[in-house]
Order: sequence, then structure tokens, then C-alpha cells
Amino acid sequence: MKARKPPVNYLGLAVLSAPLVWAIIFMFIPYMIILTYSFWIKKYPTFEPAFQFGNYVQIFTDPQYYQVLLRTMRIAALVTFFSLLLAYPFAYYLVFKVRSARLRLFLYMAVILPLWVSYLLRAYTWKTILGSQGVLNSFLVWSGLLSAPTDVLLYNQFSMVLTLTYIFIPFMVMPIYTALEKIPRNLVEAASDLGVPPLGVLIKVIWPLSLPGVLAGATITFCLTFGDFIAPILVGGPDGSMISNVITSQYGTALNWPLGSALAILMLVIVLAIIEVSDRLQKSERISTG
Amino acid sequence: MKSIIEIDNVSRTFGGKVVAVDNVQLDVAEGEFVTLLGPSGCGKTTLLRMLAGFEMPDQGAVRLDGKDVTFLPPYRRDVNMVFQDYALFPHLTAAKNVAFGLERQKLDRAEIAKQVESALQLVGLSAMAERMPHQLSGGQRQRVALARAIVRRPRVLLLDEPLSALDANLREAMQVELKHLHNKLGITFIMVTHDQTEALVMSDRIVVMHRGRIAQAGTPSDLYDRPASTYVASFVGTSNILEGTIVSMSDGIVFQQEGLTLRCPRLPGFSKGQRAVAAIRPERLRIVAAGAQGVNVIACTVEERLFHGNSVRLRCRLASGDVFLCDRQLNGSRDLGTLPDAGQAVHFAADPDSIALFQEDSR
Repeated sequence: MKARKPPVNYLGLAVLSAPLVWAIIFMFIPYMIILTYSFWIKKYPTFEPAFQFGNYVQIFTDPQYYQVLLRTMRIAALVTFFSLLLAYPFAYYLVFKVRSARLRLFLYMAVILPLWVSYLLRAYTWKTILGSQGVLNSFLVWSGLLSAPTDVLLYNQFSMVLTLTYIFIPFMVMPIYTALEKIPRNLVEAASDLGVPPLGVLIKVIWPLSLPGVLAGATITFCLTFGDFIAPILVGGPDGSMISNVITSQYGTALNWPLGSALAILMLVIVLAIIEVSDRLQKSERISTG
Repeated sequence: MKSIIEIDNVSRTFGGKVVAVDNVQLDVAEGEFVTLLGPSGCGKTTLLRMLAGFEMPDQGAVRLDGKDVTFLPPYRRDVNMVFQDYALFPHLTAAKNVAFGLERQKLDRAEIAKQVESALQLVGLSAMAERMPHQLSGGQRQRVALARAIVRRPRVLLLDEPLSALDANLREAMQVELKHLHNKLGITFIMVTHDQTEALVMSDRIVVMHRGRIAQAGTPSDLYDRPASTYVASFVGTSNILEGTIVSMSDGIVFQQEGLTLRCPRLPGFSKGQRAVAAIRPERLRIVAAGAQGVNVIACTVEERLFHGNSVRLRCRLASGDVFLCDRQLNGSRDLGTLPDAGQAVHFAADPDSIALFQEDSR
């Protein structure tokens, strides 16, 4: 019998072509342009085409750049850590302790709804809470805990981590909630039946089975924080600027597009690496748990 | 015999409306194999879950070995459960699943390993110790669940529809295996099932439940031969249920339905003129010649002949319009030729002592 070629799926191609063209024009080509720029040389007042790695070398040798990069990673790690610390007990409480489905939905929405409010507004809110004329200071002075308003609450890394945790915590809650909800209740009952008290059940059954959700939440939260540049402007202060702010300034006032491009490419590589690692962990998790 | 479990007037209501368990009183002797039997929603699972500690009764007490455990959490009860869909921990190997319940007990590693090994051996799964649950078949998972529960040497083993997820052949093999295991271990088994065959085969005693109450409790043959109600008569095994009137009380009780008169043994509590229900097992009927005279001849028309291999079921229609079943053993399929075919009239005779008479239809 003659081997038949599978028929060409024109309809499928047609459906796929629009997003493909979109991705090529608005993602692939711009990234290629930035990649190209990252090898260029700055020649005041503009830049010249070249193929050299000077911009990358500068990032790793000039403390001005690698320290911002490290700080950004530390802030992202802190935000991820605190989000997890708050989101996990919350999601656990929702899934395992709240009996009423209506109350559960309400509490879940209370976390998710802020996502529908403008990001700027949410970040700005913290400015009005933490500022020296802000709500928190007014309260502390009024209650007599402070004699005069303090300015330690705003424009530092503390306010950054606080604001970013607030902004990105829904992305931690959602996957953890989903993972916890998928754990069959009879596993919890079985563990209890086998003589393990509630805390042991949490550690030995619920936590390991919710790890995929934790991993997904941590990845999203870390990557979103890593690329944030608005919170640093609103609540960050002098030692709160992050890598995205540096990139913005390279394209703006510093007028060094090649260096900005190199930084952007580096960021892209870091984020892709994190997603790749997380993906592999997820897969190995799935293989071991089926 | 000493009672290991005393269920004392226990009730459980859900959401203030649905009465799942209604005033149940039951003692289970040490080493007994008791089955809670009933259709879904009869309260059997809720009762079992109260023994495990997953549900608390609204009223009454549960005692284990004389000690009140009514409000004791599951992890402090000396009972273990085999769950309906096994509830194996998907992130642990078979051996670690079995070891899970031992890690709380103060045992050293070598001792745990030894007990896990012997429990897996008992259920014939030594070779599968390092497999993950998703690498095991349904029957193997069932065995792991069993090993995980018995390795803790509980006073009572609870089994929640343990065989319902298995296919028919495996289920039959596991019925026998569970029974052997029960004899070998000597611990008390309490099983929940909706499968009456399973209950009849495996149990020392069956507790038939109906709408949260115990309809009847007794040995399998007790229940089969002397059902206490039409509900039990039709749930345990098959029965032809006929409604009619008591027309005479002389010479036994005479029960009459349109075109049908049955003479039954004398029983207390019946009076002439009252409505009553008669139940006859399909296999207790004899086929008699047309026009045969005598008591308890039932005339009907065969509608269908259902071949079961070793037996055949005649599905007939009575003059009253009711369906009437008769089972005949076959000694080879040649016997089929001697039986009436669809569309033919047939006459059955039922001995008086094969008829159970009840006050009302409680199905």
C-alpha cells in the first residue's frame, strides 16, 4: 500500500497564523533588535553598530549594575518568601477550615478582586498609608505610640517589599489554593486514621502534595517582582531602585541603549532560566506523584 | 462473648434536616465479621465514619473495648480503615504508605521495615514495595491499603466498600482473601457494602440498614430464610412481593390476591380482612402441570426466559399484572427444553413454609 501523506490542515494554519504573526512582529523582532543593540558601542551622543561584549562585561564588573541586579533578586526573593508565608496559611484555611462554600468564595474573591483595580492605584495606596503624613503615622501619633510622625516607613526596601508583596500575593494564593483544593479529602482522613495528628498531616501529606502549587506561585511572584519598575518609583526611595529602573534610565536620561539592551537581555535570560528550572521541578514532581 | 464495640443509641443528622443515622443500637463481639448492608443513603457509611472518628454523633455514645470514644479524634482511636478508593498517599511508595502509620509509634527503623515487609507479604505484594501507587493496578492498591491498615494491628478494622472498585473476577477472589485474612488475624472486621452477595459470602453477621435505622441484624442464613420485613426480603436476595388481603384464619392464614390464593403458616398478629404482603423466593417454586389441583398454585404467563448459565430465570406476569420470577437450576443447557418458553402459560406451586407474610410493604 502506498503511504499517504497526512492532508495539510489549512484551517489549523489559518487559525494559528494570526497569533504567530503577532508574536513575530511584537515579540520576536523587538527582542532581536534589543539583542543586536546589546552588542553595540556607545559613542556620545549616539551609538555605533558593533559586535563586542563590552556592555555585558560592564554589568558584571561595575558594582553600580551588578549590585542593583543582586538587590533586585534579593527583593524578589523576600517578596516571594513573605507572599508564601501569608498565602499558604490563608489558602490552607480557606480550603480545609472554612465550611461554608459562600464564605470561602467571598474570602477568595477578597484576595483576587484587587487585581481588577489599577496597579498604579494599589501601589499608590501604600504611599498614602506609609507616608509621613499618612494614615499609619497619623494613627501612631494619635494613639500616643509616637510623639512625631516617622519617615522610616516609606522610601526604603521595607516599603518596597511590603507594597510588592501586597500587589503580587494573589498570584501566590491562586495556584496554592488550586493545589490544596485538588488534594483528596480522604488522604487527610487516611493520615488521621493512621494515628497522625493534624500538624503531622499538614507536614507529611498536605505540604508535599501542594508543592506544585507553591512552586508555580513562587515562580510567578518572583518573576513579576523581578521585572517591576513602578513600586520602586512610588515607594522605593534612593536605595530601592531595581534593575528595571536602571534599564529605563539607560534608554532615557543616561542615553545608553546598548547597555540598557544588555541589561534587558540578561534579565530575560534570568527569568527564562527560573521558569525552566521551575518547569523541570514540576515535571519531576509529577513523575513521582503520578 | 465480649463486646469490642458498643454503639449506644447513636443518631446523626446533617444540616439539621437529613437524618443519616437514627437511634442505632448495635454491639459487635470481639473477632466478629460484621457487615453493614444497605442501599446508598441508608446511613451505613455515616455509622462506619462515626466508628472511625470522622463524624461525631449528635446523640448517643460509641464505646471501643468498654472505653467511651464518642468524641475521640481519629488519630487517637485504636481502629483503622480501608477506604473505598484506597486513599493511598500518591507521593509515597507502597512500602512508605504502609510504614506511614508506624512512624508515630516509637519503633526503630529496622522494626518498622520488618513489620512493613511482613504486612506486604501477608497481602502478597512484597515485590511491589518500591512502586508508587500510580504504578499499581486497582487490586494491588487495594492490597496496599489493606496492609497499611492491618500493620498497625488495630482492635477493629473498618472497611468502606473495599471491593466496589474492582472488576467482578478480582472482587470474588478478594472476598475469599479478606475472609481468610479475618480468620488469620482474629481482629474484628466491620465492613460497609451495598452488595448483598458480598455481605452473604463474607460476614458472620449482617446488619441491614434502612433510612438510618437497623432493619434487621442476623447471620446471613437468618436474614435470607427469615427476613423481618419486605425490605429485607427484597434487599437480601430476590423475592416476589405480592400484595393482597387475609381472607381466612382457619387452617393457617389464607392470603388472597386477584386470581391467586395462598395458604401460609399461622403467624401471630394477623387478622381476617386486613391487607398483607407475601414474599416468595424465586428458587423455592416448583413447576406443576396445568390444571393441577392443590394449595398454592400460581398461574401466570412467561414473558421472558433469562439464561444465567447454571440457572434460568423465568420472568412471568400474574393475572394482577405484577411481575413474578422463578429461578430453576439447570443441569446442562439441555434442561432448557423442559421449561416453558416465552408466551406460554405456566403453573407454579409454593409450599406454605416457603411463603413469608408481612403486615406491610416496607420497601
